[in-house]
Amino acid sequence: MAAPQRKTASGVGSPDEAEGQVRVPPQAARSVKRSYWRMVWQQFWRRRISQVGLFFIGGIFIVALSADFLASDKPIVLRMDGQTYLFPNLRDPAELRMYDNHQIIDEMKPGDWALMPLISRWGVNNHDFVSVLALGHHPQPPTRRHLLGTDPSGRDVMTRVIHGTRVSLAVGILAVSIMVVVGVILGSLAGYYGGWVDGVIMRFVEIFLCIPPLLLIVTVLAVLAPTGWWMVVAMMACIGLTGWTNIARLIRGEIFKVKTQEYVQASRALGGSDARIIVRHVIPNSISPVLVAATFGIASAILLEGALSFLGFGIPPDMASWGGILTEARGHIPAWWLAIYPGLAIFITVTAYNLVGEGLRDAIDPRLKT
Amino acid sequence: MWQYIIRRLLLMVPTFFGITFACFLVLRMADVDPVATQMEMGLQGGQVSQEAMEHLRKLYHLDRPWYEQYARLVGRLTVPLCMDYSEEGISVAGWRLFSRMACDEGARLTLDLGTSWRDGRPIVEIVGEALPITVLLATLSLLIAYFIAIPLGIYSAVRQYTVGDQITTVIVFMLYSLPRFWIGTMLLIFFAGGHYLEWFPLQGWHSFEGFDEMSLGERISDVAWHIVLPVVTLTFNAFAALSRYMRTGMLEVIRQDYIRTARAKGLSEHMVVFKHALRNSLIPIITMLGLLLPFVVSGSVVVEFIFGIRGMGGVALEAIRLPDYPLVITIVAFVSLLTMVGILLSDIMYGVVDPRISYGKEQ
Repeated sequence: MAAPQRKTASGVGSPDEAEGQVRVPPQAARSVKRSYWRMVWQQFWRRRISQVGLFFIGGIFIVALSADFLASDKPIVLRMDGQTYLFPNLRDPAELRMYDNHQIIDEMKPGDWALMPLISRWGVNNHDFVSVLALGHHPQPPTRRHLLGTDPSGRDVMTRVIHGTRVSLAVGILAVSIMVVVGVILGSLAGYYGGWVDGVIMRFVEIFLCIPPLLLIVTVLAVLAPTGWWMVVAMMACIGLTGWTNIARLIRGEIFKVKTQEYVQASRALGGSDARIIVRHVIPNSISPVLVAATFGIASAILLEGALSFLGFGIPPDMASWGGILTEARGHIPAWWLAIYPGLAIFITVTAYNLVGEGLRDAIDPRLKT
Repeated sequence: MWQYIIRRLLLMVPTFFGITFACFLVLRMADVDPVATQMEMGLQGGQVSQEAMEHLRKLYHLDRPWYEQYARLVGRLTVPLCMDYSEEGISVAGWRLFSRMACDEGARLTLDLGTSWRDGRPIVEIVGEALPITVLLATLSLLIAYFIAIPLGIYSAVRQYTVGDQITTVIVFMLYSLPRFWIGTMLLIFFAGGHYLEWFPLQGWHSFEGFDEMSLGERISDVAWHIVLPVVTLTFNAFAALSRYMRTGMLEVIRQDYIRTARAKGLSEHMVVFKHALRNSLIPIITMLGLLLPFVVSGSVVVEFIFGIRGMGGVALEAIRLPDYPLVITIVAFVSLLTMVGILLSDIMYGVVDPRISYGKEQ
């Protein structure tokens, strides 16, 4: 059982091998392999919507990866008292823990210098005590001090939206990876073997279809009591484990079509084992619709993560997440800035993934082109 | 056909037990003591002695082995009818009528799904209170969504590649990606907060004061006023998805040979579209109704949370938080039963409207 699983997973990871063995002599196989995916790529890139979508996703990824350089309360490089600190924004050294950028600037002597992040005033969990003390625990509207306003405990919304990008992207991509791995394995087993294997797996599909992700997440929270990033991992696992059914059904249907083809019979006649046939021939030839479904899946996983954080399950409040910021807006009704910016961030990300999914679908399956 | 339906119905039995068991397993794994949570939430009021808590645990059969617990929980669901000889049996609207007919004098047949652990009320009563508003919200929003989506999809498909089509496609595409919790929160802030526009109430699906004294007409208008925002929130996504399906369906049909034939014999474009193309292009979005069935009863947790409506979503959320074993399992079982029936219905509808699909051997 372990071996085919591993192979299946690697088969998913390297789709470049797909479409190879179809009616092609071995020496020509290599060029054909390349040309199918090159054709898909050309078809994909031809459409403006795919370009726009990919462009936005790239931008969002850059924001997520460089969040600590865009917004942090510690400098990127600091030269102080004859000592050089490299990347205090990432490492949070003990000597500087008590200081934020402003205090550092105040204490600077001639000869000291620092390279500051773009938004150097606030970290993710910096509470603006000045405004909280003066104005109480109310969210403050956008000012020059806080470009996108603050949340009820005086934290900068812009910084939190920037850092929230990480959670959303991580949840989206890893949840879908789990979905694809589980879905492809079970779906291809069901599709290839049919009969009672199919019957049992399809019952499992129905069972998982009906388990609300909310229930699963509450349980995981209670059992594992994860903290920080483990919470994000737990969330991804829950979304992934409830969402694989769609992909399993998709690949099962594809395999029903593929498994009667001549090349599968040929491989069997040549003595290929079931595992080899599934991994080398059947899955590569039915994987393309899964790619499309996975792209749309990322979009819906991000939406689901947002909704769960919004309901107060999931991402702990000291971690920045878009749904978590949005949920504060409900308790502080006139504070539109708590709703509009994280919502916009979710909206842009989801739209970008949907655009790419749309472009990919048109490129892979021109029959569905609308 | 009948054979196919019966086989599918029989297959639901193991799935049903699988789902309830999976749900029970998940609840058990959580290992949260419902009694302790209940005490924390102060639901039973004030301090409670250890003996009282033990008593509650015994009452909920939490001291029994897991298989007995599961059997008790699911036994209620599989044999929900019981003879009730007491005076104050629970009766739900239609059941009273039915039970009068089915039973002899003095006894009533009642629907009993057990009692909630949260407040000791019968589950039938809790669901009976929560279900109507959820069904109302869902059906209204679906009706509106279908009414907008069908003409819009037809327009978009018939005028493919025109500016009008491109604009609607882009708008629909963007609506499709809008998170429901965002739309809801924004509507609440700008139309109900009282800081910008105070057109609609903040919370609930009816006024809390004086609702009981209202006449029927007043009640209807009061509820209508309260549910405008939730219905709008629910409509957004549904309508976007539906009109995309409609457009795709229409485009597929319009390329068929028989449409070309209809055009070739000189029919007007209006005739071609509404008489010949429309009927077949409706197939995918009508069959989708079956898949939307579970949504009608489960509602949207998010929307009910935002607007403070105690429908099925809200009840489910509370039940999961406790966790209220019987209530959670009942709701999950109920919704998943409808999910399976919905899938079956949409498959059957496919067969009915599209004779090319057969449900003979080997589906």
